[in-house]
Amino acid sequence: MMPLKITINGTGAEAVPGSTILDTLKALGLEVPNLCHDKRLEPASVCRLCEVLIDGVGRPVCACSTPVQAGMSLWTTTPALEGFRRTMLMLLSGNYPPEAVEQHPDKPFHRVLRAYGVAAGSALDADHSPTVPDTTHPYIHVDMSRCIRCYRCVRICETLQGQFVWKIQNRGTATVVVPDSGSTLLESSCVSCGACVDTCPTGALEDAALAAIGKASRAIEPDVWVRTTCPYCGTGCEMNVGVRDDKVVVSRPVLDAPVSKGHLCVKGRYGTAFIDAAERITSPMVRRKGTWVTVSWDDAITAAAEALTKAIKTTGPDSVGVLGSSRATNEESYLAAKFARVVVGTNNVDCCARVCHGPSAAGLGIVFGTGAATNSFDDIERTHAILLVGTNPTENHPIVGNRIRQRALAGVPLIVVDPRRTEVARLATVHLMLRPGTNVPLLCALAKSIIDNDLVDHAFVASRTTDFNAYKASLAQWTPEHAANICGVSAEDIRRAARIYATARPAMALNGLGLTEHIQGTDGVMALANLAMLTGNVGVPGGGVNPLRGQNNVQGTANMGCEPARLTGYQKINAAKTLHEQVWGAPVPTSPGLTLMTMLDAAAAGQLKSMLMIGYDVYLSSPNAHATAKALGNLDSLVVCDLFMTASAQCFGTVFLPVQSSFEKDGTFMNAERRIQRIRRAVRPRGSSKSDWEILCLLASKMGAGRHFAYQDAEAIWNEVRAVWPVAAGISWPRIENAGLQWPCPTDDHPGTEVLHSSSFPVGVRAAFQRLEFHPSGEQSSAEFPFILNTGRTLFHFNAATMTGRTRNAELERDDLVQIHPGDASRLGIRDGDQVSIESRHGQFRGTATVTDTVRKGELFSVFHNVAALVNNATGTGRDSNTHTPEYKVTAVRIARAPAQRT
Amino acid sequence: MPFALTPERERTFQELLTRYPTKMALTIPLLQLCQEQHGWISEEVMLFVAERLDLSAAHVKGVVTFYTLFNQHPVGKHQVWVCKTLPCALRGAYDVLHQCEKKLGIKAGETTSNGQITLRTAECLASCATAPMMQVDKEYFEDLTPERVDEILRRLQES
Amino acid sequence: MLKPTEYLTCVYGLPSGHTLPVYEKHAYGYETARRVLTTMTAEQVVAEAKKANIRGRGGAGFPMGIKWSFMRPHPTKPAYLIVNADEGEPGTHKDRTIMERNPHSIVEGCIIGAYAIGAHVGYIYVRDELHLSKARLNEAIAEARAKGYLGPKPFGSSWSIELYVHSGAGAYICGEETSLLNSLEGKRGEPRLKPPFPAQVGAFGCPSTVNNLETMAIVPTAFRLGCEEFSKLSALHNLDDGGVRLYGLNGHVKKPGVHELAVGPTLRELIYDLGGGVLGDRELFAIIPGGSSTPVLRPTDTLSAPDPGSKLHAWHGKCVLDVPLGVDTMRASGTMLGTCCVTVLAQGTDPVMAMLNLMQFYHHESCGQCTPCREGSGWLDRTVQKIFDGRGTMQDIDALHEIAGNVMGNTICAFGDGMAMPALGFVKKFRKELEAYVRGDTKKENARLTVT
Repeated sequence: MMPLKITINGTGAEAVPGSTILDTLKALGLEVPNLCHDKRLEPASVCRLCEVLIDGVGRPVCACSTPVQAGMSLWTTTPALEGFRRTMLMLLSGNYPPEAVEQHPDKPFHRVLRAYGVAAGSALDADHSPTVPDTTHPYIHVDMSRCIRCYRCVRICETLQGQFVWKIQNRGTATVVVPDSGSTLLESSCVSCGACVDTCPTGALEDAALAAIGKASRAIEPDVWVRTTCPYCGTGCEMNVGVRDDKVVVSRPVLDAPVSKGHLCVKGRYGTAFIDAAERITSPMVRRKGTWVTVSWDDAITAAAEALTKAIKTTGPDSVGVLGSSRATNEESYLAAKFARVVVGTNNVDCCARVCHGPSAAGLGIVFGTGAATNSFDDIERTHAILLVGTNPTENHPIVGNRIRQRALAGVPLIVVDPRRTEVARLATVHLMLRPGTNVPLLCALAKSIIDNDLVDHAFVASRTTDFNAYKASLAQWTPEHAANICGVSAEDIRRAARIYATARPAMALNGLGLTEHIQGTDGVMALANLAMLTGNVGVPGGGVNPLRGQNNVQGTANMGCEPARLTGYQKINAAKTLHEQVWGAPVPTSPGLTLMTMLDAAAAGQLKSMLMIGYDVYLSSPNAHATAKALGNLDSLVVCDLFMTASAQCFGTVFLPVQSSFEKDGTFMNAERRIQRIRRAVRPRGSSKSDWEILCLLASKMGAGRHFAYQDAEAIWNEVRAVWPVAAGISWPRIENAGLQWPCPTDDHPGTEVLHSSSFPVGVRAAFQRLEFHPSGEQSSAEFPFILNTGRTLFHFNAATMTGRTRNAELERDDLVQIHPGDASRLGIRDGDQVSIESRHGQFRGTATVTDTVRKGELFSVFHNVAALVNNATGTGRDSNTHTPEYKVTAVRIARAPAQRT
Repeated sequence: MPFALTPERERTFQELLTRYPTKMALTIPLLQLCQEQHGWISEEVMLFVAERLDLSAAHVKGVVTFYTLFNQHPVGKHQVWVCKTLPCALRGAYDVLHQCEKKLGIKAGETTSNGQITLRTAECLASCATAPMMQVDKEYFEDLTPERVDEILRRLQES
Repeated sequence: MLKPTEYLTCVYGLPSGHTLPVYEKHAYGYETARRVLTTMTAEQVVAEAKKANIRGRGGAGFPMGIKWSFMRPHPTKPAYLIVNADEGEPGTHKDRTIMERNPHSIVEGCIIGAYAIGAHVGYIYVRDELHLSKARLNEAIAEARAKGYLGPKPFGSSWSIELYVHSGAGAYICGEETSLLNSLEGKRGEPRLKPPFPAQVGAFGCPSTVNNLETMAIVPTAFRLGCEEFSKLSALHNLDDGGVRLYGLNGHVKKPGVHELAVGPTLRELIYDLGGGVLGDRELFAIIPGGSSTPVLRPTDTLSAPDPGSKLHAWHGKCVLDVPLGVDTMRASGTMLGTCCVTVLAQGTDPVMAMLNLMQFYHHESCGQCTPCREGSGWLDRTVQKIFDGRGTMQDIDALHEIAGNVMGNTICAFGDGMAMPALGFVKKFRKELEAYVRGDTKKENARLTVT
């Protein structure tokens, strides 16, 4: 677009059409003061400080809310305007604590006061009394004596987070901003995203950690800010971490981040304390006579190399297993996969994608040829309807969840398939509250309803698919009534959902582990892919099938080849073997590799002897913990690379190699929408810890393969990845310095790919509909085990709580909650907060009851964060037939009140 | 005990629901029905209104605290408002107010110890040509004289 | 020249004057609405309405017909007619009389208005305190509905119209049209940023027209007489300020009241001819011409229109008491017409005490949304109080001027101006009296607002 010609203070200037006067002035470095605006918000124009004059307009206008127009002649600093600003600052600051200005010189309000020479506290007898700070919240310090009533906190909570915590009460000079609890922030519905703190221009809302430092030092800004990517879920939010004295003291959202768009959740915003947790292990150790002994790196590497070498020599390379880490970088996962193949000589390499989205990758791989999300998060804003299957995004992928919630609040139809009444389910147009384990019948019935009502996108089916007729025939039995019976939902709701999804054009499907962690996980994903094809929602903006990946780099780890049947880029071994051998200068083994689950089976059977377990607590997180214990206990050696003494290491480890957190190293993560983004070293490595890639290089070198593992830095590793994965060859570190790129991106000038399959699939122009059969779970409720247990995560904790367990998140929510329906609870005499014992035919665990209608009668939901609780004692042996992903979501159990034992 | 409307007010509420395109529009009308019944807007009333209209209790509280005619605390059986804005003040409103305060033995904003009468000042009640004036519950008393004020208060205290 | 009329007030004194039979018998009840709905298109109604030159009776004086013409049919959204009966401007007491004594004129006006702007539903937003007004309006709506004038087929036409009374809950700011819309929607009555204007995004996000209650009540008369003929009743027809309207008189006059007159009486005529003169035959001290937000006048003030080309030049230099009251004439006299309800202050009134009374009002009523108004209202109140209490300084008087001057023109809605104008007016016209307090020459113990 042509720039607009305008005049500012008598001088010609150019402005971008559609921008506001404030944007324009900012771009030109002619900024006027403003305290109520944040570019993430709609302008409110309440502080009025950015008023400017426009020739021919009678009254001053606010620059923040007025668009520029061609020919406009603006005046920004006339004596009248400056006098107005000074007077307003005098009024605002009359009753404002002067010490705040001194303590916090860089807050926007304080900067403006200084610039206009206005001293705070000139009229401290004014009519609102000072308030006592609210220090109840572990992360957010509230001191409303500093509130200048710009209402940014109120607005950002509503429009960015969608939580509506901050509320305006009273009116006129008595107007106050209060948490929705009416009392303290801790008691409010706050989800601790910190957005209000980020936007507050005065420090009325401040990070508690900074407020604490402030008291001591009276100047609390960090020394440096480092841009990096969040280490928690697979959304890929970017953050600026503030470092002071080599400690991460604060984490703030990156305003122009392509994914998170200036927002973070409680984990990214406040979950960094684990870096310096007391229990962090920063020296290598080996177990001698049953006890851990600290040793030198050389001794530790020697011990690990000897253990692995011994197994290779005595029982063959395939008696060794390597587990890459979804927490580690792409570069490190690539090296783990390469290590298995080149140094050990086995395809026994896997990662935790096995237990989560393996079926998503496999299912989408089978149908479309690419085992990754077809679309991007920005499609959430482009779509006309959203279908969520087995995902609880406002808790597990909060930034994606917020974007979905904002769309639902704006009236975009939302269909939620979930056994639980989650937050998104409460917002849903249709909530299909199905019985656990019945995704496939439900999705088949949606398809049948779409076909029967002739809502099919015939053009797409004709040009881009095959096997439609066979598929159609295979659905014959799946009438909405039949499925409704099996799924426990109403047939009418199935029809409504089908109509909404099929007629929205485009409609976007997103799925979570509620679809995959079943014995029919891969079938469920393919059923969803079928639906998308049926309605032409493939290859279009605002459509697609999109797994919400659980961990920061779980997409990347499998993609980097930590997957027994795949090499880098999820390429099949026989397809990419030659290229890899060329680049690696070493042969790629061809014997079929073991998955994580079959590695455990093999260990239990005495065939697998040694494991290298990188950043993954297999014992805590695998189902049927008794079986896992038997398997790991049977190993000759277990080399663990981790930040903490995990349950696996504690019980079964023989060598412990301390690693660096993502804040101590460089590299890249790959998010759930295939975007590769940088992480950067913000603080010095703790103790003598090393990055995973350094450790792998040392091990390889010790095992005689050093020449294949000679890298100067992580970027050099990435460049090798580009050589073996042509699809990503165009993604270089310099190109992703400021914003990540989404693969496919084959060349240096390729812009990356937001939407896959727009004109063809890797499997060809057409993709085939998949006929599916339904096999019910072996876990069915019975008189002995009358409840079905579902497991998952919550907002405040992450997986095995290795990281969040070492933060103050524990003060915000317990990590051992078991949800039970009020009807069941009262029948069993269980009250909120009671200790309960849950038992299945596989084992038993304890938790704390939460009585809530979030779950249906006869169903329980337990989080699995608590190490001591070990929920996986109870989960069973069911596995997805295709990918071996465990059936975490369906276990028949019984529940009873337990006498309080643990604290 | 949770708050609930009387059946008659419930019918009124149901009829009011048909008048507006949103439920939120009922916030003020429903609060008024509740206050008419309960005398003031307690936390229970706010929760009731929030629940009936699918709103957050915090939204309801924001509304309640914005408008002066929602009683945020229990008030007397009768409410006396003396208009004190300029046109009434020019014709003796302050004298009327002082007379009321003296007669009732309370200050503006207070309630008599027997819970009978709450005295308040009001901003302009659109009765300027008949100043001074006061409003007692729903009724206007205009062109006040000291004798009339005495008479009105006496009758109120006796009622 | 005084030209009393009785288009609205003809039923004021009649027994059961507020009922439908009386309205039909004595005031051509609903004949005009019937004719308009059965013989005219909405476009014709709007075109005709423009000729009436009805300047909005709520105080801002925006031409009603032009406001109606901003409404455009929306493909999916309904339109709403909103009637502003949140009468609360201090010194304003005219709308209440119509609601209590001639509510059918409002209902009939709304029928015509709703039809003209394409609305099927109208809400009359009445301030909560006006219980009798609400009751009379509800009775009138019920009577009209029973007769089929409202409802699915008014007068047999196909344009359904429903009218509802919506009660406020105690907030002066809700007389501001966008605050009123928020309040109607069940929110805090905080004004909205404009644009978008209500004609684009009004009630419930839909196109809406917000008209003052008296504006709507006079519509049937205008259409009955023919809008141009109606406009010509005014002495200021040539200034596009047409028709008849209600004039109120209060404060220190012998006979306060409400009078219906052709537009254009002078203040002198109102105060002395209709009001019987100043209480106690005192000297006229000051006049607030149209509600407390209109800047105070001294009897010595004059109209200023030095440009010979100005339509107002004929009154240039003339005493404000002898200038016809109109939107433009009052603007040229350094004040505003406002609501045409005149507050009279007699010699002996303490202007500092009067100013304090008004500043307390604005402080009490500021919504608190934007900085200049929220902070300014508190500072102005506290500063005048300080001066009144004898604790003030000369700098405080300058501060009043500085604060009010910087609130003026710088707030989201007109409330800021409505507070700043009287503040500036009092400081300008009664600086001497303020200084006397600062010097200790005047003491609050001796201050009076009443005269005998």
